[in-house]
Amino acid sequence: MRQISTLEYLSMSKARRAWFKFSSFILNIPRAIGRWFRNLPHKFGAFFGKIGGWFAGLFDALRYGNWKTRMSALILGFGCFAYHQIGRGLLYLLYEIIFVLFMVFFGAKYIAKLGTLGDVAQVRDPDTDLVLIEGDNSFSILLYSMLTIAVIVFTLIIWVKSIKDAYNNQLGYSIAQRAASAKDDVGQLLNHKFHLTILAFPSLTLVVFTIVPLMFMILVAFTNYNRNTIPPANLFTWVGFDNFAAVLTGQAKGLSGAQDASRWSYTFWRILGWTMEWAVLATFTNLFLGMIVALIINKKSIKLKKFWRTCLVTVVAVPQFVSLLLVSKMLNNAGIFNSILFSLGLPTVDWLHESASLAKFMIVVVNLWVGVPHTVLTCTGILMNIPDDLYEAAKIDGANPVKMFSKITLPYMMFVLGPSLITTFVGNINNFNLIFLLTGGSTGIADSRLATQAGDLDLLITWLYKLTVNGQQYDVASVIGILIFIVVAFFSLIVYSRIGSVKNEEDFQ
Amino acid sequence: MKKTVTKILCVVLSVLMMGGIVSALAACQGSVILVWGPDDHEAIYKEYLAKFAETHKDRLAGYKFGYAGSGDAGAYDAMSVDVKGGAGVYTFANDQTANLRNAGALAVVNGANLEWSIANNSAAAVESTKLSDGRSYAYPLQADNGYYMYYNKSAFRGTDVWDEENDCLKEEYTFRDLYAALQSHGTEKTKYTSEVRIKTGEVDKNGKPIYSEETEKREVEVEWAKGVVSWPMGDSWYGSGVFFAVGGDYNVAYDAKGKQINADAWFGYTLPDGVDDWHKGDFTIGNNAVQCMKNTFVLADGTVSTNYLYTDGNAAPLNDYITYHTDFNDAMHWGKQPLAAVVCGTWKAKELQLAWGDDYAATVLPILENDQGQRFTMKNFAGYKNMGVNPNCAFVVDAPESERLDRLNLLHELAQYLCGPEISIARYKATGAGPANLQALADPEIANDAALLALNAQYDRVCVYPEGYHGYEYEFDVKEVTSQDENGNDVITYEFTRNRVEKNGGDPVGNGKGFRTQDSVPANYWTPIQNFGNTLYNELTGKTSLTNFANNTSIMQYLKQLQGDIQNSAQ
Repeated sequence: MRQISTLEYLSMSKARRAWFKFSSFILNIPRAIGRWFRNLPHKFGAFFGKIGGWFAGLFDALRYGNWKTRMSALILGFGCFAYHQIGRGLLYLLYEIIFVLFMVFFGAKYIAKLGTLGDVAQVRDPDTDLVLIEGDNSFSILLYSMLTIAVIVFTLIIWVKSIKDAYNNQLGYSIAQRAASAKDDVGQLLNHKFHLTILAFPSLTLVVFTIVPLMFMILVAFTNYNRNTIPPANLFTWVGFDNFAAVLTGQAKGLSGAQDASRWSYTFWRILGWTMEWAVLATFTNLFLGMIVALIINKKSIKLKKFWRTCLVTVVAVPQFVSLLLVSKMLNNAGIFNSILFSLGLPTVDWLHESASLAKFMIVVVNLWVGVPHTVLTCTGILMNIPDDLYEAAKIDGANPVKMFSKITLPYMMFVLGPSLITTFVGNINNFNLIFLLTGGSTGIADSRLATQAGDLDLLITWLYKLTVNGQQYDVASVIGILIFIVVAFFSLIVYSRIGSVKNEEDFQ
Repeated sequence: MKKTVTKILCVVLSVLMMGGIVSALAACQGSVILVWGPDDHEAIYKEYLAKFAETHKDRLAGYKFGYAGSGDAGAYDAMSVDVKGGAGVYTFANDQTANLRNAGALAVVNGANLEWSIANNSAAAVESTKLSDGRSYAYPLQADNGYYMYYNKSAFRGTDVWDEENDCLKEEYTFRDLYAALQSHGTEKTKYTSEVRIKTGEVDKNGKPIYSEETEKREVEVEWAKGVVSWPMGDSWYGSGVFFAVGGDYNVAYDAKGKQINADAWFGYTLPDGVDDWHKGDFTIGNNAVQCMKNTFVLADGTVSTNYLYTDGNAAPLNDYITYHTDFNDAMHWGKQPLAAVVCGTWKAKELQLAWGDDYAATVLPILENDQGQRFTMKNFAGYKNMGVNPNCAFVVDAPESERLDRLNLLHELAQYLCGPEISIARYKATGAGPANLQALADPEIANDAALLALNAQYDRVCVYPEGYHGYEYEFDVKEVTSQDENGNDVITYEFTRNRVEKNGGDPVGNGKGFRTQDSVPANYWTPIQNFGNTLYNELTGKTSLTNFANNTSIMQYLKQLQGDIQNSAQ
């Protein structure tokens, strides 16, 4: 991108200025990506620096600590006992015992098989030929390994903490001849460190119910867990990046799904295309139409403003899925629209099944109906906040309505709407409700090139749903999930880092 | 002080919340043995489960029965996610046998259990519970999962397809015959008597009106020239009938664990071993399938018949047509046409009987015709509903090792009880379900049921022999033919014939009729076949811009793709 001076910029014609802004925005995207990646080492450095700093304390403790401190590395809480911190010492010791028991009776057997995800299959008892003899359960191995790893990480933290505590005691003891008592500890937890007390349980639930399942689901993308390998009757195993290769390039051999890899990639790229097409269409049609309606309602000459706004709010008040199911019935072959057409003697149209392009058009129209009221409400709020004196001043200066709109109204609106556009855009990429409830993700017109479960109107998110719920293709579904995350993160970061509201936060009054 | 109390309270509350979540999770794990079956059989199953629980109190060990409705595919969908939390005993369509076995949700039926199964059920039904390893994995429940033709007698009486002597459709008829017969009514209106159930005015939980048991006869006047004949060519289960009719076939090979390792299909073309170039294949089967399927709804002049009703197997459109005959006040009747004939299974028997009253009848499937007038007998899958026992369910797995066998045996006893004669007859009376149980089959009402008679006649006609382990395989006679093209270069083509060769003595299955059961279809069978029917219909009626059936080359391409899709599946 060529750098130009302000003078050069001002000497351009209006059209060229607009083009210049637009093209520099687009051309800056690769540069921004490049910058992000160039900064990556620094970010990693900072991150690992912090961790390293934490461990450096440990290193010091072990190096300069006395034998009591060093003993704490083996027997947690030893350093506490040695300095008469019985309560804290007991807690450390108790934790160590629980951890060892946990590992012996639970964790170890799963971690040991994490490498293969199990190798003993379930068989029938040869004597009766009826009862099953339990084998390895790949699902449990993967899930409980994640849990065990979380526990191990937590234990590592406790371990380091105990050694540092011991070292601190050693240092403190040599100065004050007294370490913090149990009473002091409790007092701390209720005062200076109350955040730890109150966040302990939520953090635990976060790890157990969110982080461990999330790790599990991410790792499924690297296995062949699908309808052919359902535990406990079958074992699944690691396949590396095969699933990603199949979905992105169609070149993988290892995929044990029910179809060849090239079909996965064809389906993925096609659905991704329609998803992006849909997200752009849905976001911008809503934005512009909403803006126009808001402007119309906000015009001084319009009567019954509150009435019109109430009308629009009614649409918002009805739950979206109710409206959508209703509309899908109305657009049905035997629905109200066709009924009217028929009674007028006109040919009926199968709105959502006739052809993909008609169905897509109808989806966008229905989305307008569902989404425009939201935009109108937001825009109305902004419009009412624009100070009148700006318009008055503009009028005195002889600005025409178009000028006023483009110089006052639009910049104001875009400044506020910018960030919300991102959420809308991302929301539309993942707009499950609209596509699934309205069309089920397909016109019903078959396309033999699509992978099983995929329809011609599917978004990535609805395809993902079908893959898991109907197709049991958990491996590919997990890949799709990760890819959706990447797409969404990409667009959010790019746009967010480049819009005015973020760059010029102070400008808004 | 107050502050400290508040803080401690905060901590206690958050601990309590956690405890609440944990105990709620624990409460979900109740001691219930689940039984899954069709929604509309719920009352019957609950009644018989209560009886069984009464007589086996001591062995149930504090467990009680719970019933949940599951559709045909519902059982597998649920089992594939959580086999331990799944039903102990459940019904499923026999095409799901292999899937369910792979998910670990089917116990082997052997020894005394298998003897019971063989002694009490029709042989073909027992055969349907078996997989490629030759072992039985379920108990036969219903031998009625096939399709045939229902028709309204008054729509065809007196036309060219009518057999005056027996007052029924002629034994051999085509779809085009039916359309011509309907058209021959002209503008004349026909009256027939429908037996209509009276609405109680209430609606059930799905918003459907509840009908009383009483019926009243009503005279219905219809314009049969506008009547429709429906067959779900957009559904792979029905569409397969065309392929089987023209000689299409498949062969699936299994490994020792019962997983499919190889699938061969002869739906598009046939190709002998050693010839890789599909262009040199014989496309007779595929072309015949395309032509026959086309001719089920396209008339001789190339126009689409106005009497054909397309569905993709979804019952909703069909239901609208059925209510045309029973529900005259329904506002949805604008532009509806009367239903003259429909290809369907026993699950619509009761409804159609009410809709058509005395003129209700059923018969075998029509004859198919290709463009040269060559005729083929339309064939169907012989499908069964079976009852499986889940050896991985919580009731068995959670028991101490010494008690597992007894608990598993209890589930087997329950399954046998639920497949018994008494409950089979009750099921038939409520829903028209055709039993597999021999004692129930001897019941006079069941033995004379029009729909079940038609189904059996259709099963009789069908002669697609099952593959592989069932006694047949294929061999090719290949002949290399050298000819010369217009430039005088040698062109090698292959002429070959496909022979079905007997294996293991060539014994056909079960009752000696020999028919295709659904259990052993290739892993990716349904979708390509479904696409075939859908695409053909949509293209010929101008609904898509795909060009799979535009000319000979693209048809060949499409048939190759179809076959490839099926064959590629087993890897």
